[in-house]
Amino acid sequence: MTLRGSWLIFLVNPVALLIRLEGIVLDLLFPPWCVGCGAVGSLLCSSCQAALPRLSPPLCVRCGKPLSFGTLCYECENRPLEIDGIRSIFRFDGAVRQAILSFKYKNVKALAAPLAQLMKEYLCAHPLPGDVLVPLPLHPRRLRQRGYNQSSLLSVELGKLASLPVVEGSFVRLKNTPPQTRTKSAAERQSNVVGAFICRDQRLEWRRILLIDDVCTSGATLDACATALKAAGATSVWGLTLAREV
Amino acid sequence: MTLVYLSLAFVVGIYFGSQLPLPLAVALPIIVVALLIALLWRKNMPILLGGLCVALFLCGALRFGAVPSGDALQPYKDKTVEIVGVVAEEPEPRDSSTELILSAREINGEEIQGRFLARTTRYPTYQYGDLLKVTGELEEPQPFEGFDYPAYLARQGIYTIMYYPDKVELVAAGQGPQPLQALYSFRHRMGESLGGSLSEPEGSLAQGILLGLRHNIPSSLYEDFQHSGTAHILAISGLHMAIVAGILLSVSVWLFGRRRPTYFLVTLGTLWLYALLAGMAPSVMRAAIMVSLFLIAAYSGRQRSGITALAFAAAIMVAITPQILWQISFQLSFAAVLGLILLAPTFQQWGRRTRAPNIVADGFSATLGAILATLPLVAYYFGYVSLVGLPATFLALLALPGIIVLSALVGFIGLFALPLAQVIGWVDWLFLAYMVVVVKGFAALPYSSLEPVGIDAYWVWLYYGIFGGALWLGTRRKRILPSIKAGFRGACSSLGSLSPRIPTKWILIPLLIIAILVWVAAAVAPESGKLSVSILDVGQGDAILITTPSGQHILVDGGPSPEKVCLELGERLPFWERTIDLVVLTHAHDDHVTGLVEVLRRYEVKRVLYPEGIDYTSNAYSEWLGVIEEKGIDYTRAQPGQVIDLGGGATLEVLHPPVEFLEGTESDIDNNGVVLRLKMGEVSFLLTADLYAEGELYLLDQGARLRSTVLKVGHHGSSTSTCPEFLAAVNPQVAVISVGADNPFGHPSDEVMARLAERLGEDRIYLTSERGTITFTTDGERLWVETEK
Repeated sequence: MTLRGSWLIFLVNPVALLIRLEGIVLDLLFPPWCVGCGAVGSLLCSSCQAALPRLSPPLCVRCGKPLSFGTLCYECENRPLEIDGIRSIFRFDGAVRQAILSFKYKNVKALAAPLAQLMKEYLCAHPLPGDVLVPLPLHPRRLRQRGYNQSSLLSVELGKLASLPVVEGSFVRLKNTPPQTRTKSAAERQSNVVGAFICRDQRLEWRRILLIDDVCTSGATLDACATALKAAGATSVWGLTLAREV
Repeated sequence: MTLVYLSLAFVVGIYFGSQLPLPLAVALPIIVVALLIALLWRKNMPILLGGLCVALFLCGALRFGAVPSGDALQPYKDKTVEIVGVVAEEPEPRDSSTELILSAREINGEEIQGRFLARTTRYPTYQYGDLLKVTGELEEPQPFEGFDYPAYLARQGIYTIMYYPDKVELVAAGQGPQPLQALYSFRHRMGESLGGSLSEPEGSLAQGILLGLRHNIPSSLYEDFQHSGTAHILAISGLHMAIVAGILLSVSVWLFGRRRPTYFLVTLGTLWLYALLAGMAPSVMRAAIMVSLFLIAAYSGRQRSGITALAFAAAIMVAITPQILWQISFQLSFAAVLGLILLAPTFQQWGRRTRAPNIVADGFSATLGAILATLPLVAYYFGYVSLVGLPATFLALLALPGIIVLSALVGFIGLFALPLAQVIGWVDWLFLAYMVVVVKGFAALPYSSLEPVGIDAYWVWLYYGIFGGALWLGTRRKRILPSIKAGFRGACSSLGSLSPRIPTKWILIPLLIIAILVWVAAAVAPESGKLSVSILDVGQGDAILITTPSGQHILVDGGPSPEKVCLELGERLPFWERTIDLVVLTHAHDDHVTGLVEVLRRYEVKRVLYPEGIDYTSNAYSEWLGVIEEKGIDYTRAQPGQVIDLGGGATLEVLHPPVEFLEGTESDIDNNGVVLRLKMGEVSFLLTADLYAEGELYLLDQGARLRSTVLKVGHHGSSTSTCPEFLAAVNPQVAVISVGADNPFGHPSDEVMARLAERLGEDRIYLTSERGTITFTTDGERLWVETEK
């Protein structure tokens, strides 16, 4: 009989017992309910998971935007992006939208695990080139207000599931720009984020980077990140986001 | 949901224990077996849950069994004892009495523990933490009018009562347990600074809403709150707590940021300090527990679950004090939140389908949910059903956030700088006055409330049975679950949405407030250049407010009730006026002095005039003397020949009492009352206090100038006064009698009424008992009379 799964493990490791107890108490006091339908039991119930609005091909091979036909979207054909490619799993709609809003604005940090699980499943089915995960950084002032960086929580969980290292603190945000969702035009979104990011050290040199974020609006932010990362010597930069505004 | 079942099992267990006492020897083995079964089949969720529920149910029954059913004071009942004890709860003054809950320390010199209730006179006043030595007879409380008073008191751990102790002696102050003592002193001083900064009834309303000090709220206003279905606003509960927590959270996030737990700990700590400050009533505690759980949920990154938080709060509260389950405030509070969680979301969905703005739809659906859930309880306990609760609550609640924030500012700043607090008080007053207007307006509507007779307890059970059944059916249709989460968004929306909205209308709101204040000020400001005399309707007693042509205020006597006179002053004086230039006490009897004590406390009184040095002792009179000394108010002994120029050609002359007090009369106190003659041009007023015929004849002998246009008839129209000779000398054109309706003295006497009617005609006699407050206004030539009714 192995120690794993047995109560005996707690004799060896009292910290594990405390963590387990904390989990039980929190589950009792704050039982999770599905952000999609409200059913009690889990944060995203299986029926809601099955009904998530997945983005289906054809997609632009570069920026991941849904297309009606072809392989490259109009913008990517005319003005190629710095980033090697962006992939999003879902349309920013329905239960995913609810989940991301709760995750980002309502302090439901517990959503990191189920959402990262969805990303892991996607990565297994559609592998992307990357040997290190980098979360999209949050400006320190925003971080002070919100208390956590949702992309970083996602990366850490995904890192555990996909056994990939997560590098934080090297790639930072300099400008506290308004959220991309509140901007009006593509041009504004682009100018909004130009020079907003910088790499502070050499940790990301010669690495293949997978940028992690929750929602991608136009790809301008991810592209600005890629510019900064490549300037710092990254080999390749891909972006993976949970959802995409279409 | 697990915790909901576990909590319910415990609460039901408490109820079961109260109906059927359970011996430990029976319960303990079953608990052990149930826990063992749960442990052995822990992989099987229903069995695990069932086992735990059975165990908790029995624990609940045992917990109730552990409640003491008496205390050490009981053996002393029907005996006269001397007890040294500390005032253990904020005293609740009524019109003529005060209820003190004392925690006994010594009885007849021996150490003892136990609480008892002492009903004493209104004055002197005591405070939380005062160490008192009381002597009197301990009695067992008796039920009255179908109300189980003994059980009601037993739930507060009180088994004996002392009616009007023979002697109450203050040994020391500030002896309550710390830190409650410090908090309650702070609460008391906050209350005083609110009362000193705002006029009535707004001041006492602010005390009730911010601090849970409801005893000052005039009973007429309280009834209006009940009949308009808005009484719940006076109870500090979830909405208050959500607003307070929202503000605290915004401030501490702004100060400390969210990266460290400091913000969270500071918010939680301050929230509980406020809950203690607000008196920790059941609704306060429930709300504090629930809001804390929501804060912890946000901090630990979990979703909130309203129903779980509610059930858990109930379990904790009944575990601490099982008897709380029978408190009306506990039942109402939980029923209301249950309505908010279970019903409101459905109404909200319906409401949002209409064209109504979201704030209206959400506000109405939340209120409707709470009303429907509390309806039978309100009907059962209070005997009425309000029909206008929905719109009245919606409109009244709009002012609540403003009231809480501004009253907190006023109360706090008033501790250091009363004048500044009074200025902020003007804005606060606007919100409070708005609430009063809404509440009074709805209460005054015909059929605002019904009074169904004979609601039986089983109707209540039936209602909740149907209620539960309907909900169950609703759940089966998979409708209710998605809405549970939405409900809390509605119920606690203030938590999140408060901070970002404030700055948008920075300039507009203050401008609007200033505009309204100026408009109100212009509307209520007294006409300048005229003299007005108001005989205030304060029940059986005298209180007369004089406003001089230059806008100064003089109050002659205060009547028998502090609440009534403060309320009248609040209505008659402009809202910014906190100064009374002169207070006259004609004589020391309770129906003249009692109300004045509170006026001295709440208003800045520049000078008092009274028959100083007269030999009389009563609780209220010694309180009067005490407050004058404590506040260092200038005082003058009233003597004939004193003339005060009131400006604009008006004068006030003191005619009586003589330098040497009259002695050996039927009532020396009454006969040495202060008699005033107020004159402006051709018009004059004679205020004769409670002078008996002996005093009146003495005045005639002295050749005092008595002839007056208006006579305030002496001694409330009693046959002891207004003798024919005196009446002839005064020769009034109008007579006014300050008297309470159906008073036990039979005032005014038929004899005096006939005498007055013969001289003046019946329509020239005004009674406050019939007409309410009577106001005379004069410009020196003409005289206008205005009555309330």
